Amino acid sequence: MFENRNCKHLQCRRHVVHGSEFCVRHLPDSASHLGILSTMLSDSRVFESLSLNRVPFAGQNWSGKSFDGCSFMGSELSDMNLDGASFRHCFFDFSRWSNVSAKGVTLLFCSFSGAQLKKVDWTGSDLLHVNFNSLEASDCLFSESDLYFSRFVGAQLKVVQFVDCNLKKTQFTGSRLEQVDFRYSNDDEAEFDEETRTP
Amino acid sequence: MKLVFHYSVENFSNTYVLGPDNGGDAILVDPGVLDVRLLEAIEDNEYTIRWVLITRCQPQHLRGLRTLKKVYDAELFSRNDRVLDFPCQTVNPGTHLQLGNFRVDALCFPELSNDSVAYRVGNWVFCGDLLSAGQPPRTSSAYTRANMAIALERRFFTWQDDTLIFPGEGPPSLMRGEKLFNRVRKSAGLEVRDLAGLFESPREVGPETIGEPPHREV
Repeated sequence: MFENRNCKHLQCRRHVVHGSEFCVRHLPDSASHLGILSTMLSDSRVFESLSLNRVPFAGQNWSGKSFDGCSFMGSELSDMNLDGASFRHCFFDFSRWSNVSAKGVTLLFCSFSGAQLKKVDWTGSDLLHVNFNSLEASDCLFSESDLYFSRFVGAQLKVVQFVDCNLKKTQFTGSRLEQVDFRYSNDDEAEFDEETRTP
Repeated sequence: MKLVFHYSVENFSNTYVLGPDNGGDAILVDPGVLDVRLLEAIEDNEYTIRWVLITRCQPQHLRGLRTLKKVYDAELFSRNDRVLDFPCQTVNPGTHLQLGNFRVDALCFPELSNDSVAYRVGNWVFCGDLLSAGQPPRTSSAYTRANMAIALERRFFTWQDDTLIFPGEGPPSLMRGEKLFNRVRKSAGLEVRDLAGLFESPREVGPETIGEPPHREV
């Protein structure tokens, strides 16, 4: 599991980036260090205990890669390919995703609370025991996915598709749903507030 | 430190194993089940379960205890002095346990039940039934609910924002997220309405980004 060590910069309470004693803001040679991380992420397939809080990623191809116990809190992922990747015990809280293809992904016991997703395609994924509480999602596809025991408590979902999904024990309580499509899904086994449900 | 998460389909409850990176003596939290999958996970990591922490003496947290005790000679910790006929070290409010290299702080919540304990190991909290991601604890009355909201406010939400929360049921969470979004705080009128500044852009840290955008449409 990733370590939450504080940055060595005076009075900074942010967490260090993997391989450094400093947070992403106070990296002495930011470009060089992020370059090393980029090489590492493209060369290897299996990653454990990485701390990549607040690191911005763009255009990376992580398809088929495996991440266990990693932290991406506050990070920004744009124009990424995550198809077939696997994330276990990973934390993406308050991260921002845009234009991400994440088809056939496995997410097990991960957290996305307070994250923002825009144009993210999770089609055909296993999203089990995932915390999507207070997620802001727009133009996203969760279709043909297994969302067993995942939570969207207090989430704001706009133009989101959950077509043909397993929604057993999935919670949408307190969420705001706008143009959300639950066709062919077992939404009767999910939890909704009566007032928030807009079939 | 490594964490193994195991979900019991029968109990809808979570069991956790935490141990050193390279194997050795490990802690198991809430033995709701001990099936082949969990045993394989323990053995694959070369762990020996030496200590068992029980967050609440309810069946969904205990059903695997008898089997576990047949396999491992583990020491038990809970609010009660006996659990399923096994002697148990009693955990009192504010107890600090030194279990091998792990320092464990115990926090009791009699507002929920007289046997309810949350265990903190570093910045990880195993909170059992105390709360579940985004949701308040299940309580029997509005009075208990109100008491729990106050107790959590005074003794739980005071912990650091980067604390990782591993509940007895449901997905994991982050303390910051729970402080902002948990319905127990909303019901007590304590939710944060203004999220301005919450999403500090990583781009503010500098122009560097890992990789280059390929201008691909998804």
